[in-house]
Amino acid sequence: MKNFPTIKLCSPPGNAELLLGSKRFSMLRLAPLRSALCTLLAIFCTCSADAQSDVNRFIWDQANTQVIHAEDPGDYLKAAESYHRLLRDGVVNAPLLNNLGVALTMGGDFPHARAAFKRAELYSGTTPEIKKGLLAIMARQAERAVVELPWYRTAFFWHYGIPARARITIALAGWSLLWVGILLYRFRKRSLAGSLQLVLTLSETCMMTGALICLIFSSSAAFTLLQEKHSESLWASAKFSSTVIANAEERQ
Amino acid sequence: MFNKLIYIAAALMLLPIALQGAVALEVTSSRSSIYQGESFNLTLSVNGADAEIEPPDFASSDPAEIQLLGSHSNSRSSIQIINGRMTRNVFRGRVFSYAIKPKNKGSYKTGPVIVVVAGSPSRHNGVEVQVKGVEKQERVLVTVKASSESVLVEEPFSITLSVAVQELPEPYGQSNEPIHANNLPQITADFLEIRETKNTLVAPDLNPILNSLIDQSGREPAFAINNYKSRGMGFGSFFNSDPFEPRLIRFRLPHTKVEINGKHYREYKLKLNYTATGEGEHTFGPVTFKGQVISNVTAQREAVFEDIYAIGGAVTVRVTPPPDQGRPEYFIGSVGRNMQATAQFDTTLCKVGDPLTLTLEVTGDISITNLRTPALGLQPDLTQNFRIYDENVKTETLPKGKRFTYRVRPTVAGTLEFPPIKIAYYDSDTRAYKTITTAPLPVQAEATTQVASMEDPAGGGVIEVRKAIPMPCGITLTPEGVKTSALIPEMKLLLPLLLGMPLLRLLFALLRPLVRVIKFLNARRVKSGALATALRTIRHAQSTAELAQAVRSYLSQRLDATGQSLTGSEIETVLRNSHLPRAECDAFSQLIARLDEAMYKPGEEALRDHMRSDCIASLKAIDAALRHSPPSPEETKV
Repeated sequence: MKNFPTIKLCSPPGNAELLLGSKRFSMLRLAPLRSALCTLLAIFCTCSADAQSDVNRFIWDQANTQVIHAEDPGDYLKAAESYHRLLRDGVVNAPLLNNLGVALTMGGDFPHARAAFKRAELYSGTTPEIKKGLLAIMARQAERAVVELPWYRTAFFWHYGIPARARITIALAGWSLLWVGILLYRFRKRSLAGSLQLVLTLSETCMMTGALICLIFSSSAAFTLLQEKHSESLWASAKFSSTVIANAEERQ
Repeated sequence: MFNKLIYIAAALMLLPIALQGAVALEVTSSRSSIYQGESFNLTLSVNGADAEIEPPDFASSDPAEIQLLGSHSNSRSSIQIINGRMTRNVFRGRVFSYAIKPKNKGSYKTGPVIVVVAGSPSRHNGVEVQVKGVEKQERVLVTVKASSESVLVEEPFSITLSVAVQELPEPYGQSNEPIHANNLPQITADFLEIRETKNTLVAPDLNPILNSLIDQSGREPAFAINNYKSRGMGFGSFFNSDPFEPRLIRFRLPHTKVEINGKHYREYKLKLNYTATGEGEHTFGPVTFKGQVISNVTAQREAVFEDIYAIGGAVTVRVTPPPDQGRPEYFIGSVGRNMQATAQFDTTLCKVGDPLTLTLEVTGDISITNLRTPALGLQPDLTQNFRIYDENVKTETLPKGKRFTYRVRPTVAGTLEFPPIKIAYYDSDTRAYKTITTAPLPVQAEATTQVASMEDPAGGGVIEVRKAIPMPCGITLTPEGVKTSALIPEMKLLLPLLLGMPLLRLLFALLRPLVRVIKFLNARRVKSGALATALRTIRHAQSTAELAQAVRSYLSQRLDATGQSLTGSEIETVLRNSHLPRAECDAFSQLIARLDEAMYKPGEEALRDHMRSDCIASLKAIDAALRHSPPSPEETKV
């Protein structure tokens, strides 16, 4: 074992060894301090994360209870404010946005309700709940009982029906397939005469399919990401107002 | 005439009201005959009133010790809804329980009993109980004791049969029991009979208990219980009596020495544990003791026997409902501990008026037999937005509770909350009522199609069917609502998909140039190290053949000449192709020739050292010349 030199100074031996002693020795002395600091930091991070999580869970339960007990549009808007608080705190997910959409629909703030449902759709794709929520908004805005969703939602079913996360994954899978085709194309000269045609066909199929999938889904995903960026700025400064309450006041 | 008819009609109308207000008394006795010194329980039911009842009057009864054991309400109500019309039937009643110990033998009459309810007296003639007399003696004391004479449903209690026989005089009493092994006293007790248990009483399995008490040796002081006889033959039976006749089984009861009223007794005990599953009264006893006990010992050490007939009074255990005081409105009759209740609907999304199935499960360490169906219709909170059909409740028994299935209809549209269901039970640990609640249940009730009439100017009513505006779905209560989701997949998935295949393609594209570069670098390494290798070999060479081999190896590595056995002329050609000066080429060719010759000459060792220095000098010169010569076409190609 290699012995490290120790420099002796006039200062207290403990300090001298700690500051100028062997590297190994000083490392040994510092190790508990460092691990304690790391543990404290980890505990602090965990505690703060847990505390935030508890707060969020409380707000979520509170908002749900507010919706359950709501009797008029004003109550629903209060519940929507609670959901919005979660959104402002950085919590984004489909159930939250769906509940926000429901609360805003019942509260009479249809533009924001539509935006909430559409944003929920980015995360979960079109679910029966979101579809019903959008129909309810359209029916209320058009003041008709029977309404239908626009045609382009059926035409671009993959954009609305599949969650953005899945679309990005599919686009990347298409990208990989395109490269598989390119890789196979390289081997066309080396292939035996009999299988040359097969390799060419497989290569071209992979390239074309991959390129098509990549193009369709990446464009859809890019559009979604742009929408999400726009949504973030929209929801950051959102102020809810009920058209139902406003209409009732006008009538009075 | 008309006036008379009116009076008769009015009287007929008022008759049911008068009858409804009448109070009826019902008196029952727990036993029809008792022995003197025993007590019996008298139950007095007042039907028609639960309040304003003055204490019953037994003043006219025969002399006896009368003790009020308690009273409890017997009132109950039920609700019927037929075609939306609710009918509530209410019964009012109160039950009084007394323990009565007649003082004299003969016929004992408890009546007449008078009860005053709201100022008006009611009378009952009472019941008769026969009291039999027993000769008093202190030699054998038979008692039946209950751990508690008043218990709750499902509360365990024990009955102890005790036969205390006075000890023998000293010094015999220390080591002898006052019962002789050959003279079995007979104990007769109804509750020691093996038979089917009553519906509301869980009795111990007497079979193993009595089996464990059998005296196998046949020599211990024992008892005969009831009429339990053995079927088999005993060895002793050949000498004593008919061997085929069934004999009384000998039961050896555990015994202890006790002191009663200053006298020493040998007490034989049998303890049995019971649990009542329903309200009521259970009488244990009386117990009769008949047989010989040893009362004294003669001077010749012979036992003096005494015939004894003793009776142990019966004991009655009342299984009562929990107390009236503090009984919540939502009490469902059950007694126990840790009751839990859960409720759930079959769906959370429905239309107004749709029938929903509400399942209520009540579980815990509780009594099931007296667990009544909770009347949810009586809870006003529950009927605010829902109609509950209490009369069609399906009940299932679970391992530790009951499941009730109700039909419920929401009566208003919107996001509704089915309020918590309140259920109360009597906690046997804390001896108090406890009320538990279920969790509230969210229900989304959609408005149904409404049919409205529209007035038309012409006067005819036109029916218009209006469809309700669609509602959004109910909210989601999942805990996932507080977790943050990302739109973009994780990097561990994203990066392999994005870069994996392009990198693979790049690798394939770079494969050939890479191989070429590696080969070139390898050749260059061999060339640059050729001189050093050759010089090392020459210095250590032991013969001229090794020197020649080292020189040839150098040439083949340095000039890419193939083969290790080049001739002199071939070497010259290779050197000239390398554009070396002619002088160096000739000198090197001569050196090779000399080396080849030296191998076959005598005195090789002498030549070797000389040739070694020549080889080193020549190789250094050639290497220096090669370094300054122009590169070969192969090298320029790479």
